[in-house]
Amino acid sequence: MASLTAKQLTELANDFLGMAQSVGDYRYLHFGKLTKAQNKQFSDLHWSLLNYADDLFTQSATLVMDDVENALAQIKTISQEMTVSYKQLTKVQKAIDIATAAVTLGAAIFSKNPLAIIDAADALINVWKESS
Amino acid sequence: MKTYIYLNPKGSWHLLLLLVLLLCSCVNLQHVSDYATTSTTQLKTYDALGYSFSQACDDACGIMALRDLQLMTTDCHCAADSTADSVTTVICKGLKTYFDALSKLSGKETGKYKTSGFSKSLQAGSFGSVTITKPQATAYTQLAGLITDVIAGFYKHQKVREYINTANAPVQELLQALAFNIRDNLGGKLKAQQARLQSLYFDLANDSVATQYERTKAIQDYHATAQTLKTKAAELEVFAKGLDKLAKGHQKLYEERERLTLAACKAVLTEYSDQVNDLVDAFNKLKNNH
Repeated sequence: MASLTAKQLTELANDFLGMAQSVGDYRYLHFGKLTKAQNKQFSDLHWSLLNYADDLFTQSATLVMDDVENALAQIKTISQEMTVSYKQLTKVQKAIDIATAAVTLGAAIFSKNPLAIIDAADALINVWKESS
Repeated sequence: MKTYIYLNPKGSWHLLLLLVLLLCSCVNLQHVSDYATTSTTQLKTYDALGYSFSQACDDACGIMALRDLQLMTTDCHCAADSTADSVTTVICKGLKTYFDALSKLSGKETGKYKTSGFSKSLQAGSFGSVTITKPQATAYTQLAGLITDVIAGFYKHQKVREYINTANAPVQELLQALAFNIRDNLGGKLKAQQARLQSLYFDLANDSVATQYERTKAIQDYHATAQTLKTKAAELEVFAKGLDKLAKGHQKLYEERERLTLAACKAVLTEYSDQVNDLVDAFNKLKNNH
């Protein structure tokens, strides 16, 4: 026999919930006419049906995993790929910062100013360190 | 002999820069990022639900102990409910990770770069055989920045489109599954608990041995507890409605993936984001009034 799907289990749970509601309503409506023993019997039946429904809802929620397993694996892979793309794009900024520092150093070397060269070299080293 | 790089800022450069700027404006995906951020905010409200399968199991156990007049609730078998919570949490986390990645990839941080440092470093002057004038240095800097943005922007646009295309089917499936678990299954358990509560208090209110005061007190207690459950049911429904809106928003993104930058697409997506934000506000109001 084929096993039930999550959706079928929830439908079944709702059917039990509906039956429980009917039993409960009957008891509330005829409470005065029922003996104490009959009332207890209806009440027990009512609670049993509610417990069945409750358990079926839980089973269905657990079974959902079987339905979404592939989708979860796919979304995990896509999210990882997106993070790689994001990192690649953020690396562009790092590359620009390094290039900027390198150009500054180049300009300082052309200016033949020793202090400017030292400052520019320090700046390049710092940018490099921050990026790595 | 010195080489002079001729750049007339008033000439063809203007046209080229204008074209580049136009291209840049075509890859603004901020509306996609905003939608993804809103989606993450909506999914985060799952942690604030304050109701779970395990909680429902504990509550059911508690009310059954009350019915049987037992002080201790020793027979709580909530292992299956704990598993149901794990399943629901895993689905929610998977979706949160996706929307977070989409938000970052389509956001401002990518495809727009700071090149102001160039204008400081690339100064006018003679550099060996090359002489650069001040307007030329400025123009070079601007152009370098714009070209970088265009290349990165197109790469970003292409990637976002590609991911939305691949992700739509699993995203729809996961959002539906999450809404199903919250609205139908957890909501169903809440209905069962409401029915148990009604049954318990019905007997207390009709207990012929109880005094009038005790019966009245039982009815008061019932209304207070029933109201709490009603609010929880409303929170679950608002959360599930938010998930439905996220699914519609993502479907729209998928359908319009080739025209993501069009004003119509932006408008629709903004509308979905606004609706989801309204639902998040409604959820928070329910939580705060509770």
